[in-house]
Amino acid sequence: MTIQHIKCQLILLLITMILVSCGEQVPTDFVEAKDSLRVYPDYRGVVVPKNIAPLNFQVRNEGDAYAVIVKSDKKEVIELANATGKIQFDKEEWKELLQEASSLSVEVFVRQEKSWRRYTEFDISVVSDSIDKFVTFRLIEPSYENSSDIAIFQQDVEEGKMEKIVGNRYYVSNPGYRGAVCMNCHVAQLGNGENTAFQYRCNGGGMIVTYNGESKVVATKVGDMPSGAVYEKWHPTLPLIAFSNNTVRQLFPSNGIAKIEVLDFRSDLLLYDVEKNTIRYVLKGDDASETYPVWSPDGKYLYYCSTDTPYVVGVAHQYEKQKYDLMRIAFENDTFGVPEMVYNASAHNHSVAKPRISPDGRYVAMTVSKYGAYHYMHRSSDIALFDLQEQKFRLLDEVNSPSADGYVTWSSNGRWLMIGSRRDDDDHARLFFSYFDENGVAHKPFALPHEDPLFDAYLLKSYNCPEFNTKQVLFSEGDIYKLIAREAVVTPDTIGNFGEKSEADGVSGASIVDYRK
Amino acid sequence: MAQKREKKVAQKKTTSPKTNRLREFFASDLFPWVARGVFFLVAFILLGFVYDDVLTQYFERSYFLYDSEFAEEKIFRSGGLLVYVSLFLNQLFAYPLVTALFVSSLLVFLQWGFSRWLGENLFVTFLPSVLLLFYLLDVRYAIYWGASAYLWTPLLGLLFTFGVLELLRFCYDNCEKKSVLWIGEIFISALFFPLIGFFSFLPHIVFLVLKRKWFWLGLLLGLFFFEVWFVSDFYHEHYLYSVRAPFAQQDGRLFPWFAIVASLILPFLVFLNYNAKRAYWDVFALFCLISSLLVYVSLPANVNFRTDMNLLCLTEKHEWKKVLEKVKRLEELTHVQSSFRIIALANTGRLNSQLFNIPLPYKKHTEDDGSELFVATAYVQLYASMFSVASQMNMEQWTMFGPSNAGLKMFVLLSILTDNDRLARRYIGVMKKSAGLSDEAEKCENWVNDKPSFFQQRPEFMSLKNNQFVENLDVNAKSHLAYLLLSYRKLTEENMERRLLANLYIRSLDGFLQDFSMVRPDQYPVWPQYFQEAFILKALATNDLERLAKLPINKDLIHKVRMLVGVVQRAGDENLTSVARRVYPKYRNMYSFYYLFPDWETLPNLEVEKHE
Repeated sequence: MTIQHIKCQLILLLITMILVSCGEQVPTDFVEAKDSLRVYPDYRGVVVPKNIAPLNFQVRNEGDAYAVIVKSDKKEVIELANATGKIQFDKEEWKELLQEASSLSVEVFVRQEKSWRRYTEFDISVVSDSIDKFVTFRLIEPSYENSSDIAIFQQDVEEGKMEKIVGNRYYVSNPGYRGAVCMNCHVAQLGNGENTAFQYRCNGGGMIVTYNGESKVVATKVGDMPSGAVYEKWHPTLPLIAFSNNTVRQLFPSNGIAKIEVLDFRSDLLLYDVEKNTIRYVLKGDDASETYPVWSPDGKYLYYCSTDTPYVVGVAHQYEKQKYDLMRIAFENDTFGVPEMVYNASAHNHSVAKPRISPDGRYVAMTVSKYGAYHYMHRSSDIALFDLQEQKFRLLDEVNSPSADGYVTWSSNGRWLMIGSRRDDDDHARLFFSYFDENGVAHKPFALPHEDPLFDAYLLKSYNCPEFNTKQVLFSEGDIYKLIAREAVVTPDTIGNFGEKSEADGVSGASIVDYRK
Repeated sequence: MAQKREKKVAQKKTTSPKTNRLREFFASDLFPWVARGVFFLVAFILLGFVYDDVLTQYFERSYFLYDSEFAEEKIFRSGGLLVYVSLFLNQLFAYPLVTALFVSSLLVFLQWGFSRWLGENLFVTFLPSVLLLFYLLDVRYAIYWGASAYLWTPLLGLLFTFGVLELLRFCYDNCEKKSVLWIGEIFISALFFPLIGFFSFLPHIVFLVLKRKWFWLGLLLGLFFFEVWFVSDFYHEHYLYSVRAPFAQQDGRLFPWFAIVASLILPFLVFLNYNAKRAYWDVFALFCLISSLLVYVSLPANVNFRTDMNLLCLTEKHEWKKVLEKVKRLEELTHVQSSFRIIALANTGRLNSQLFNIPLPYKKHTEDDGSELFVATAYVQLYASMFSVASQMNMEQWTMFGPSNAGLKMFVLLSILTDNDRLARRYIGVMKKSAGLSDEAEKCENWVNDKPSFFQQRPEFMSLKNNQFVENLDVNAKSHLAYLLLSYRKLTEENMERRLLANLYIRSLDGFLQDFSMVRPDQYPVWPQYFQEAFILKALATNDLERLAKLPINKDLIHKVRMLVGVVQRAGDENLTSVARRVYPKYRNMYSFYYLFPDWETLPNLEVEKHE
């Protein structure tokens, strides 16, 4: 053995020692912590699917180093963190961990002034019911009237990666630009996730419909309609999109948590036939306002919310008298039947909004509040469930919070609820998933996981209009801009009585009556 | 260069027998340095001493986070790197003197750079520096037009240009195969375009023009337009945005002014024998240029915006007396200035004596620009104790003009006032990542953790908190002030007085009298004049003047009110506006004037004296 050889071996030994000393080490000498564990997001005691992305989190107990051990029956993962307390799991290790697991136990150690504390471990249950791979949502500043840099995003729930589908940068490409380019409500067809629709409000914009791989811009404000499409839903199997057109009004409360009250002056339901390029009224009239259309999974009913209390200008707190009931209307052979009451919410002195039918057709999940159809800023807003089989209404207390829980929707297998809630700070909406078991019981919701666990903590925008998707959105942001830039807006033919062209609003989309002017 | 100058001086000496010492000085090598020194001083004094308050506001309206997402969002767009650096440099505005020193030096350096390439033509070489100073002195541009992200981009771009030009000169002198250099230029231009936009091409265009390489220039220009198309598509930007990056869209609003300045100065240069008297014209042109700058910043619109800004600063610091002094010096008020005046009156207990002493009519900043309202509204609503609306308006400003340090601080303050600690902590978390607010974040965190100490340090906010309304009111322009003021949660003496004034504001004498019956007898040792007038007006309306004798009302005032009422009664068919115009100088500080001329807000221009 030459000296050179010995030198090489010594260097190798040194490198190995360094690597070992830098490796993952669990403290063996520790004391039990007296204070309670604080983690963000709170994943303690939640139920998660096997295909969920790593539940990265931040330990918020004071310390200068952190160690976390996550154990399943067959595997153990150790993660260390520096003073930031950010625990970020390796994706592959996490996948392996969840593969065979029915439950995970998480043990947290915090080091402060060279001594380690151990916190009582918490559990995470793992179920085999998978969650849809994608969610789409809009990110937008809360309680605003003007639009800034807003966009629709898609997040891969299995990978934790977020990407922009389409934004308004083309129009707001200057930070000092002051214009209103708004978009919202990206929805996909239940049976075919590649067929989608959303609103893009600007010159050359309208409802962007993607059907069988082709996109077009549809002007949904025709005839006497005071506004264009606002809330739209694809029929589960047919090339039909039901939508409401809402004349929206905003009020500004002086004090309190809700910074804005939104209400409809008037709203009607319409149907757009994508193949025939026709629009017709489903329900039209001044005696009632209908909104939030949603199809039953078999396509035989169109559910919606309705109120017969009009908004009267100038009467203080009159908007609090508007209470919406859950209604439905049968649909067969391209013909609508007669409206029928599903749940008479106003009789119980509350108001329901944003209904979503479970994929098995049994439940209607919705939001319920004291009044109105825009519950997203109401602290009283909760998630509720109406059992169509038992004809029973109940608040879903398992998932509700003291803050506004203003949005709910189902995964394609009906086992997961996605909830939009302002429980973090009463102002910014965040997304949560809740397992809905076969007994009709929901479990503690957990936050949408991100690669950076503090992503939501620093985000000064709200998640809005979230929807599950089984398939990735195929079109690109560039495709949409080119489509809009062409200004080739398709104007549908009208069927039935649309009266004279309305002068109320020149641009397709919800007409916001700015009565502060 | 010096030799040429000496030659010229020698020539002039031979042609002119008289020794003109001034001309010699102008033609000497010393003069450009003196001009630079003077320009440096002017810029330094303007920025560091005259506009120091404005620079502080630039800092307040700026926003920079040490955050990869923030960097990504700003950098990955045409000219994004320059915008990103510009946003970072905006944090310097927190220290106006340092900024003044830094900017003045850079502007002089810029002129020196130009003189190296264009010769000692002072006018041409100073032109860019003077125009860049325009950007910094224009309050509208940076704050009300929301273009603060672009304050530094032209300066940075030009400095980059000089750096590259020097490099090109070096390469040109040392490179034997010139075609390699031209190809290299094209490659480098294309490479930097996505980051610094137009400025990646500028030095190469200049160099190729100087070297008269027209083929390569054509190729470069062709590449520029191709790259604009490519990059705008890649970044999903508007084509025109990529062309002009990194200049602000709002720059277009300054062009008319630049055009006027240029059209005033250029004829002198073209027609008036410029070359023969070059030094004189240089000085004259520079004088015109700097004068035009000073005229521009003194335009009424700019002064108005600056006044708003000053009032906003004083209000933030709660310097109420200074607010009133500043307003007192104004001949007309805008709605925003009037709002700050009322806030200051309320905070100095002068509401009951000066609320209706309003100069008429309100003036407008410009016909089409309502942005001043958005900058100020959050503050106005905050001091009216309407925290939700203040927050809404702050968000409105946030989305319209972009995030700002001031906006972030306001969100934290409003969160504390509405007892929403979780929300305050979210904003404080963002503040900690901010380049300019990390110290402020620590202070705010202490406030959230120890609210009693916050209210002890800032008792005025406790007063605002106590003045909230009894319920959530629908606040909008159509809501009567009175409707709002009559709905206080607690009826303190202060609120009671506001209620009384609110009744007067809506001309409800009955409401006033009803509320006045609830006033504690010792609250007013002497009744405020407005209140006395309300009693007199009511007595005149009910023909019950005897009642006044039992009340502590000034007899001269009774006489004065009767005179005014008499004028109105005798006016008959005469237009009330012309009556108002006639009596305004005598009765302008009286509630009776406000009461009897309901259309006072829309009265045409009156001869306005300075109000008290």
